[in-house]
Amino acid sequence: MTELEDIRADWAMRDQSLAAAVRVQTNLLRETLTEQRLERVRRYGAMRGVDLVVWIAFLAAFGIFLAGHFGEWKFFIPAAALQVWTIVNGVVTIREREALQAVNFGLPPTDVQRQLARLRLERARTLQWALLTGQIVWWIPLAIVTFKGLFGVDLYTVSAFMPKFMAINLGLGLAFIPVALLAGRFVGPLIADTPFSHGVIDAITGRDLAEARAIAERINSFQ
Amino acid sequence: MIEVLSSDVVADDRADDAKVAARFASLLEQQKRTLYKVAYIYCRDPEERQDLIQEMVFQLWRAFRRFGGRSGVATWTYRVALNVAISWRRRDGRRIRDTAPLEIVLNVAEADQAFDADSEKSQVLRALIDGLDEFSRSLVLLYLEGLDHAEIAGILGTSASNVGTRLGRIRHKLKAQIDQQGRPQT
Repeated sequence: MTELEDIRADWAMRDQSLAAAVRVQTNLLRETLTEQRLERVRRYGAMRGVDLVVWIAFLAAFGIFLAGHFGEWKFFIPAAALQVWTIVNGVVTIREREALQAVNFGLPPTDVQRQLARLRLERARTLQWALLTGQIVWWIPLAIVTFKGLFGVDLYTVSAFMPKFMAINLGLGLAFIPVALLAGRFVGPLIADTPFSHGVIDAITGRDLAEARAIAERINSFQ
Repeated sequence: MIEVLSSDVVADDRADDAKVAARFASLLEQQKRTLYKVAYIYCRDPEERQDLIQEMVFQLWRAFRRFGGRSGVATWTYRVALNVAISWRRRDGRRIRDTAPLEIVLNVAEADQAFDADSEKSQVLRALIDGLDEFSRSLVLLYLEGLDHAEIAGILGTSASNVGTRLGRIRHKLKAQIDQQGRPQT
């Protein structure tokens, strides 16, 4: 008898005690499942509803602004950048959420984990893209569009220094991308002291991507 | 051998929620030991193990209506439980979960006392599985459950020869581990 077979015999012996030791709270389960199922559907639907409303509101606001400023390129281009970012990010997020909900956990683990690894890879790419480009789009372009759209203020003409300020900020934003990639890789582990900051730095530097690829490779090598 | 349950536990789309919940409760009663044992292999901490089992119950419930009975109930339960446990280890669980947790419907406090005994064999097993990746853990679990290579392959979605090869490697690893470290003292 090998060591593993010994362990199997011991496992079978211990297993006999489990039938009585694991207890299903049947009444609670019946109440919970019936009530909670409805609650889950409501809450999930509501959450998705809020996300969708916010997303559609942004799309509509930017769309109206774009239509009203067609030809005025100094306003049209920042608004178009915001609109494209919002559309792409929203579509990717919705697709990812739908795909996650559609995963059937009753299929073999190699199939399900491959699906999840692919989704994880897509999510890592999306998050990296969103974090790096978002800090450009959601700063100066948003300020230009918001001030013009809500208050009728042309930020380009507020002061003589403003165009330079905006150009410098955009330049800094673009420069941030390679700097963030390098700094995150080398200094990130030293400065990240919370799960959230770890998450952001891992997303920016592509560590999430590397981890997702490693998982996919492990699944392939297992099969 | 995989126990195949009668078709009356298979969800019927036409049945109302209460009836489906009752069938699910019956399935859970029959499969509760499987959930505990999968959680035991993947999670050492008893509190986390309870959370993991709750997640398994939730995902079983979600998948219950989709279950068409093409595979046996036991096979289906192993698959769902293993998928949840593997995802749990990768912290994918929270992304898949979209709402608040269930009440504790499967109480395993007594099982922890009864099953998680500090015996020599359980220490050897613990040392072995701590050094295995998520898929090899599932192989060891299904082997301990008394399934043959073809059944293990069917549950995991691989070939029987691959299962045999990998179990052989795990046996060698276990032998080397014991030769190197000796048997644990109880």
